[in-house]
Amino acid sequence: MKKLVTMVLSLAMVLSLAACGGSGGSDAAASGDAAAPASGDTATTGDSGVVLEFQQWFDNEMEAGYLQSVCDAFTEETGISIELLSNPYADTKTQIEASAAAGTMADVVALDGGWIYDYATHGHLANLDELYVSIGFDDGEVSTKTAINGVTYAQPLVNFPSLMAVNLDLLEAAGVEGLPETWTEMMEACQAVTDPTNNIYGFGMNMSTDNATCMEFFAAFLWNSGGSILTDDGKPNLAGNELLVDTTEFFKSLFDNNVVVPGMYSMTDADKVQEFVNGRIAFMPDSVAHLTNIKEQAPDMNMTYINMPHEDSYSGDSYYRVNNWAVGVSANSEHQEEAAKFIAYLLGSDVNADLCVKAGGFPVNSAAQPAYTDDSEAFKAIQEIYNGGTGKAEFYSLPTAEALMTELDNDLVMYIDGDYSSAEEMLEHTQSVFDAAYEGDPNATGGAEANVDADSGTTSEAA
Amino acid sequence: MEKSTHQNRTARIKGKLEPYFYLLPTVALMALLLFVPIFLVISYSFYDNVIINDNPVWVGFENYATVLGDAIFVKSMKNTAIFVVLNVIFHLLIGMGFALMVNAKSLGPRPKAFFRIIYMLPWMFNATVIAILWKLLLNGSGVINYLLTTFHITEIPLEWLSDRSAALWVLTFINIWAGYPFYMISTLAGLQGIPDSLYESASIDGANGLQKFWHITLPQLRPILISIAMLDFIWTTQNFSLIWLLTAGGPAHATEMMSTYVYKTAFQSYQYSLASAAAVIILIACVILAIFYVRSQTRNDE
Repeated sequence: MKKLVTMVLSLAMVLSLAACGGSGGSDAAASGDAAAPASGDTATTGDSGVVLEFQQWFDNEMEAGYLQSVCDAFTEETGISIELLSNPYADTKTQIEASAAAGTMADVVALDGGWIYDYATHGHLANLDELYVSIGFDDGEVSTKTAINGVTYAQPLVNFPSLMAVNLDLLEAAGVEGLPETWTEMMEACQAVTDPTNNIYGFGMNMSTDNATCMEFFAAFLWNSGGSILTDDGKPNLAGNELLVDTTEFFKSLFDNNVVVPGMYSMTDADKVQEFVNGRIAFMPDSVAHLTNIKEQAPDMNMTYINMPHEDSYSGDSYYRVNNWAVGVSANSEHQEEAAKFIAYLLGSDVNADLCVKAGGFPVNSAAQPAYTDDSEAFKAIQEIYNGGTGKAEFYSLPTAEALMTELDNDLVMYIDGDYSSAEEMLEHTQSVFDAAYEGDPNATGGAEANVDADSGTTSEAA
Repeated sequence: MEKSTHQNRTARIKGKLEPYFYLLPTVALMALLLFVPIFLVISYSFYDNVIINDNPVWVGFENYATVLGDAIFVKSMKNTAIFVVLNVIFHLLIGMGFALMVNAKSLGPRPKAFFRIIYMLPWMFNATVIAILWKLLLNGSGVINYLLTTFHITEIPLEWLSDRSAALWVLTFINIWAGYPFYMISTLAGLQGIPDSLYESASIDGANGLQKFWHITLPQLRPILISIAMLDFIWTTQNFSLIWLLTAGGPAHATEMMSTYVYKTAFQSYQYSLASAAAVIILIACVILAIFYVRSQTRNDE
């Protein structure tokens, strides 16, 4: 008996260790506690008595206290209080995932493009079109909405184009004149700049699967060449896509010509920016949201932005990768209309314009006139590219987008390393993985992420 | 008289039940935080998909067949086995080696304290700090590559964590570095508990240093070594943070572990039932080891 009790207790101890021991993901989820506000967060109870939880990472990326002041102004106007749940992006992602799984999502949640399709099709997000109607919100000035199968589930607030950051000092030192517009010009510039003895390389991009959205940078070479990863009806179009084959081969040639910074396969977004500010990379595909950070860390660097170079013979319209800070309303929220009112408030032309200035992005309200204080050449270049082109975010229309981008990343690494004999063979395999995701998803009927047309200010869906 | 007997019986029952009331909070907590989640995960693994599916369908062992038939999962099992076995062995060897060094009688109290702190340092860093530290060291323009290229050991910088043939070994090395102090501290505590009289008797009998180590130190440390090896096995099997921060299972699954596989399956592919099946397989591996441990401990008690 004593032996049995000892065994049971010991097994219980081992199981408890197994349950508690070093699992970062679960630890993060547990420690995240979606219901608990981050330290320093406050909520002023308004007249209506309604308190909305707003889970986001935006607060951490803007001037301290700014988002709270926006919320306070909303409370003053409506009597609806906002409790900010602010954490860095990665923590927010884990917390929203955990709370979505548990059915305890905050009333208003920040959404990254890669999550929207899955949260929407799994029933975690409310229909914003209906909510806009029920609160009487006129969305005529809203240039971008994220719709899945024709229903808006996420509302972008601020757009951030992702472009190619260029270290002009390195180009000048290497005698490179002019900025590259085509793949050949970029390759030549990279070759001229690359100097391994001084740890200087032409091209650097994050490829770690910790955030596989890096594959959007790869796809941006295709998009700005007039290509697409989707068919006309919004399904994956990888195998047999000639322009994508060319893009893949061009990407590999950067490695074959030894112009990429060492360690790219395991490089994270932060690692990449660090390499750039340290003056070791000439060309870096990156979100323009990092501009402030880059200027702070490398104040003396002469830098600018260009759109991703395109295929040599292409002369059509300009396209760039776009991401945004989007928000959605939780399907289990008891205050969905109040949450929609808060979103409508954030979309107001003055509020939206100010938000964009503080975030360093571009407005979703087409009537907003942000008074940008940044008059640097780099920011002017961003504005010019943004206003002259169309944003693309095709991966967001795919089920389990993040998992699929991870698979594309893995396949690309294997192709570059020679595991696949050709780009065609690699893309056929990637296509089969993408197709499998569609087969396993009964909701996948070619839903679409809205593309951003900065000129027209209208919403255009890929399917 | 009858009343008194009744009172005695009530008091006796109360006395017998009292210890269980003291245990109740712990038992309730364990049930809530341990057994319920484990039971849920096990039950999830037998449905087609859960959480995102309002009407899950019982599929028996289908998820286990799918997971075990997935080449990536098989690769993650192999990687995990290599990672865990090497970690446990080297943690043990390095930890014990350092413990013996800092316990040496020839070492003065100040050098002893100094080296104990120095050798313990890796244990004081969390996974994020360790990841940043080693990423900087192994960077293409980092200290290690600088030394290698300066002394012409290599002509070009090595891509330690980006080289698919090297990444697993580098990751294993970093985790060995991060984890040996736990063994060192535990072994040191064990060494300090061995009576000097045993060594003195052995000296009188003419035993040399190696014989003393083999016949006194090791047998005395055995229970501690087995316990920490078991803990290490469980912790290392479930290691997630450091792997995720350094390679996220890449490049191209080169460092995919069972923990990263479970995370990706659950939170990237939203296949919670498949992830549960994979998690149960990890649990089974840990429980099998636990049974061996318990048997070994109970044999010692007898």
